[in-house]
Amino acid sequence: MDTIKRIWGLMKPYKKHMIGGLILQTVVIVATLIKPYITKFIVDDVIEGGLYDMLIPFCIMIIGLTLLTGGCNFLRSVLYERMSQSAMWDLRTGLYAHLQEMPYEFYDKHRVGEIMSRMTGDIDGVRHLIAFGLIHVYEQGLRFVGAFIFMMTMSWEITLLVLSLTPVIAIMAWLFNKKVRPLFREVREQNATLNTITQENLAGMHVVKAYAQEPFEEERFNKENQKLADMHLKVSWLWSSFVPFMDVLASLCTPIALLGGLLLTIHGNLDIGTMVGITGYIWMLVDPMRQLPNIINMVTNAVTSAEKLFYYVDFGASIKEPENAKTPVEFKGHVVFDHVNFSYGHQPVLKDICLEAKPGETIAVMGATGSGKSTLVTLLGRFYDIQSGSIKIDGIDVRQHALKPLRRQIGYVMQETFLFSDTIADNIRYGNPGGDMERVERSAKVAQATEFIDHMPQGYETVVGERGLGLSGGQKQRTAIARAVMIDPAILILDDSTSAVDMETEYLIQQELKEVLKDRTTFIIAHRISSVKNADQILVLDNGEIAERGTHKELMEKGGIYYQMVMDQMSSAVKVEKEVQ
Amino acid sequence: MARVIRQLDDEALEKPFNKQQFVRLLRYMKPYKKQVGFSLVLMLIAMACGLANPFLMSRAIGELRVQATENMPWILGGMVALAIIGALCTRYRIRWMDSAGRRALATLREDLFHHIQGMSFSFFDTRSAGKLLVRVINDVNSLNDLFTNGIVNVLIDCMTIVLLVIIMLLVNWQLTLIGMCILPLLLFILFKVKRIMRLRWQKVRVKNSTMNGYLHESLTGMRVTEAFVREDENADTFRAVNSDIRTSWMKAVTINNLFWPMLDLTGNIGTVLVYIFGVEFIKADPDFLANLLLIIWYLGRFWQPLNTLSNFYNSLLSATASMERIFEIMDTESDIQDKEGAEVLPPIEGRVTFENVTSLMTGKRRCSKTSPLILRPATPSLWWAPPAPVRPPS
Ligand SMILES: Nc1ncnc2c1ncn2[C@@H]1O[C@H](COP(=O)(O)OP(=O)(O)O)[C@@H](O)[C@H]1O
Ligand SMILES: [Mg+2]
Repeated sequence: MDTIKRIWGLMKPYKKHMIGGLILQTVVIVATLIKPYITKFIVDDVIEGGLYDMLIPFCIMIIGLTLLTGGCNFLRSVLYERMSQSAMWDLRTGLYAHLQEMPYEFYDKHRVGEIMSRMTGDIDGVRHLIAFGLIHVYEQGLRFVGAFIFMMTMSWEITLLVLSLTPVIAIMAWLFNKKVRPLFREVREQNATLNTITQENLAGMHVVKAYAQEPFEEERFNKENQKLADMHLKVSWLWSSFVPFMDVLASLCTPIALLGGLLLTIHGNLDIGTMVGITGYIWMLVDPMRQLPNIINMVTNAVTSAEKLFYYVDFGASIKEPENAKTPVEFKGHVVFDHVNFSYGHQPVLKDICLEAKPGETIAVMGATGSGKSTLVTLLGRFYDIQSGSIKIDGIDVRQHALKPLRRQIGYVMQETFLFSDTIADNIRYGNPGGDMERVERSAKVAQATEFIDHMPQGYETVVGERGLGLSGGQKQRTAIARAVMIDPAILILDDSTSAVDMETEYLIQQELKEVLKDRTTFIIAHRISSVKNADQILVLDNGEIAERGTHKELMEKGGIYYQMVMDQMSSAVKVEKEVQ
Repeated sequence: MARVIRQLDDEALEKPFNKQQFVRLLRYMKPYKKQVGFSLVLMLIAMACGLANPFLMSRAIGELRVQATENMPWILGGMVALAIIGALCTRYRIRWMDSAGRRALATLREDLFHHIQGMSFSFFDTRSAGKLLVRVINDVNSLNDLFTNGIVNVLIDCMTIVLLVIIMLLVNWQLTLIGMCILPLLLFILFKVKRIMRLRWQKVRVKNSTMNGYLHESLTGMRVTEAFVREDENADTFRAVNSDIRTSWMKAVTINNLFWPMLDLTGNIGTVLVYIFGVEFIKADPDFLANLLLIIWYLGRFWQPLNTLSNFYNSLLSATASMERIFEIMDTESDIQDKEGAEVLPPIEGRVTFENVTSLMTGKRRCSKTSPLILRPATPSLWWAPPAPVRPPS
């Protein structure tokens, strides 16, 4: 009930459309109801009664009524389509804006596929209800009652006779609906299964071929493919058992009415025009019975869809700006972590982290996979809120900052590089859409990306990303670095972002970065010693705790974890060198 | 500032009919010849039953008019019997035809998948997995209509039209010709208007898939969007994309919803014409009423077969596009084939030697001829340049 009320709320801004449509629909139904009556007059009065002069006026009336119903029906449908499309527009763009406010936590919990089906299938279900639900119930109901009344005035005996058949039709339609629905669902699911199998096979084709798994893959595919065909056949089996006979029942109404007519004729009180007229009403009694299960279906589906949608709407953004958020005019990039504790769920990920980065400093973070390096830097932009302690940027707690200005000052190069299906230029200016080409090129140069971009078929206008030209891991990383440089951040974060770049290029990137981001704070996460060696401070994370900190020199002297890492990397490098010679 | 979204998936939605490929497709139906033939017969019977119904009804009205009752039980019984026979025929026709169509489709899909499995890497490098997926799933699905309904329906519909005209002419040729005046209008609506309708719906679909693509990508990259504070621009773009959908939808639905009123009007013009001219016959012979009604009822049946014909024509165009894409893949030979008399590899020791290899990908990098690269078993090999050795601190 609550959900229906909320759907109603979506329609409310378009009340005028709704009421206008209802009025037009009423006109249409009245006109439709009058038409068979005219037929009756034509047969009884003109043809049988010999009032031939009346024929032309009656014909004009028929054409007039047709134009009226057609016109009103058309207007009504346009009004309702506009209403439903606009309501859908509101809902979808509203939800999209809401999704963009969602914290990372939301995207940890919900898969893209799931959100997609909310934003497409479920929204469409609601649209359907708005466009057709109300108006269909009104139309079918009014027409049924109207046809009943008109028929009663013509011959109550025949009317009741026909009416006795309609519940049978309704029951049959309901039964069919109940049986076919789970089957439809099965077909949908099987389709999804086949889809998944094919997708996995195609995406992993290199692996399939490397292990010569084609016969196995084909067998698996054929099995599911066959199953899909079988399911489709099950549906058409059921369909063929019900639908033709529902049609029979519907068409049986006519002979039954004629039978009634026959009986009345025997008793001698039936105009032949009445008989012809009644045949024009029969379908108006039958049709609502057949549509009833569909309408019920539509409403229940839409309500389920709406419930899922409203769950999103109600998923409040847990990360909110304070009322009087502070926004420094100019960020310096002074970062302080003060006894920070953080966990995603229950398992603590960061424990009692303290650190200070002065403007212009480079902080390197090292540690095993899963030790919490990425988490540490993610907290800077307040993508998650910490459980205790505080993180201050330029002396203000991140929870006191206005969110967007804060994030605008941090240039993220994330561990997993994501580029959009857009041109390279537009990817680089993603965080700075107004940036001019000169600046794009300068950023690309810093990231050492000019060299491969110039070799692209259309240079900066080459479309990359999922639906464009494929880039290598290193090329993607360099584009992502250019994207971060482009926003000229006060704090730059490089999360393992040169792992796929060769050492020489990495060195060049670091030199260039030092130049452009002279007094910017930089956080760099890396595994190669060469990447972190020159940092002002190196932190070694172990299981969420800072195990060691200091400069390269200090840590080497200490002879702890860091020293061990350096030694390991050196010996393997030497081994490889020998191997090659 | 809303930006224009790049249209990246520009596949043809329709292609002109291609007889050769159509014949090739029909070959998949060959094993089910008997079923198709049988269905055809069933459909003919069902059609005859359908056409006989108005005829019997008009007779019934004729009888009732003169208060004759002796034939009525026969007529009513006939109507019931015809309805049941028709339903039974339809039932089995659906079952036979669907099972033939679905199985043919499954075979086609199996063949396609098998062929794809045999392709070499270069094939997959030039085609995205997403596109291949669409071939195997969606394109094959879109042939279903053609297989299960299209072909048989067309034959039946043509026959229905011919039969209708013949019966009507026999009943009364003058009124039939008068009623036929609406035919040009009907054809115009069914073929011309339908065509415009279809093109507009296609546009809606394109806009919709643009929206889906954009949405999918922006959800996948949402972390980047939030980190780079790009929300407002993206919201603008998304609004623009959705406005596009609404506009194209309204355009399509406007003409769509004009379709039925236009059809209705055409039918009513026909009815009125028959009344006006039919009255002259009635003046001469009052019993003519039954025939008059019959002509009107049959006239009302005209648009349906014509409608399915126009649907068939439209679905043929889009099926051809799918068909061509499927056969394009099936006609691509794998460039790595087993040599004739190829031997089965004995258990491998794991020693790989690259000698004189020129990769097609780059065309220039190759191993030096004098010293082939040899990888020995149980040695991890590194394919990237070795990192420069770090000097130990002094
Ligand atoms: N979004 C997340 N939701 C829940 N747990 C996470 C999430 N991201 C990381 N973790 C967990 O937190 C720990 C630290 O991860 P992370 O910061 O990515 O480590 P690193 O970058 O050092 O490899 C790991 O145990 C990981 O499984
Ligand atoms: Mg990480």
